[in-house]
Amino acid sequence: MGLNPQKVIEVDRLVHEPARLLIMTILSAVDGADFLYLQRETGLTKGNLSSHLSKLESAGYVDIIKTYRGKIPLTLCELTSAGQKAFSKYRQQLKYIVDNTKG
Amino acid sequence: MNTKSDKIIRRTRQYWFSDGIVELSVGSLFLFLAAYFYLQYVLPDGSWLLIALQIGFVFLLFGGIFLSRSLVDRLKSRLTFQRTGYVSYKRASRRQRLVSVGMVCLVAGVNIVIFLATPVSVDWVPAASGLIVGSLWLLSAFRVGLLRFYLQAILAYLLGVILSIVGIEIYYGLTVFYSILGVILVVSGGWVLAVYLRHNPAPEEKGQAESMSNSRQAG
Repeated sequence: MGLNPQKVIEVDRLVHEPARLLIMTILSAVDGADFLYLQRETGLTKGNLSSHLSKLESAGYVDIIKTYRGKIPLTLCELTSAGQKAFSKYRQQLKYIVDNTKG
Repeated sequence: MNTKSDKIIRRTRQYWFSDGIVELSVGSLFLFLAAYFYLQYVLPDGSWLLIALQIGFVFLLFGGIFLSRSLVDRLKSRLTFQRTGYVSYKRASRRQRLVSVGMVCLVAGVNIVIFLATPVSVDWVPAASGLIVGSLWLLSAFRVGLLRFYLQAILAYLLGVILSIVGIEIYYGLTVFYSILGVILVVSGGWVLAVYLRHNPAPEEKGQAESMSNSRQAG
């Protein structure tokens, strides 16, 4: 079975960007993670992480909730159901591409 | 690609255990159980305290679980979340819950077979405990993929079997079983926590260390 080039073009570029893909992978494994955790795990600067999260939030893939845990302010990030779907679809597409381009 | 993302997902799941607090808490619960079984062993038959302990076992057990959960939450709030961030986990999926129920049924089935097949069934109580504790620990090991959890599960199995083969009195056997396992978990958790705290200083400590190094460079 050959590779359908349309599948490569269809890949969601918003998810495909490495930093955002990393953020979405982490968030797919949990219910929610705070800004500090994401910053440590991704190794991004505060500004960079904020920018990527804003893009994901604008696309409806991530919810950013400003809350408190006790007296400590917390910026909690959660993957929305649209984000979960986009991430699953991306993984399937990538698997399809990898499976169909094996030499 | 999938392998790498699987690794990231696994690492995120391991985060809950990265500070050793859960092991410390479970270890403390086991030591509490050891103290309970020791009292069962030493108290004379018919004493009011013994009867009260036997009646209150379920309350003591659930109270202990509740306390250890609250200890985990408090310690994580004070030590972990401010250092390396807060993560809340999803509730177990339907498949995971089915696997857990299946495992519990399997362990219960094996225990029943052992009890029915062994003439002096009471000798196998430490082994049955080892099977239950070891299986629950093994389930956690499968989920998060931590080597030390596999070792602790194997140790629980072995300890239970050895204590059963030695054939000591049931409550004394359970005291030894939970004491050894409790100490191992407390030591392991304490060591992991010490390493975690060394590698992740609190934000104010980190700030102080950075300002000291800056002033040295300026001087």
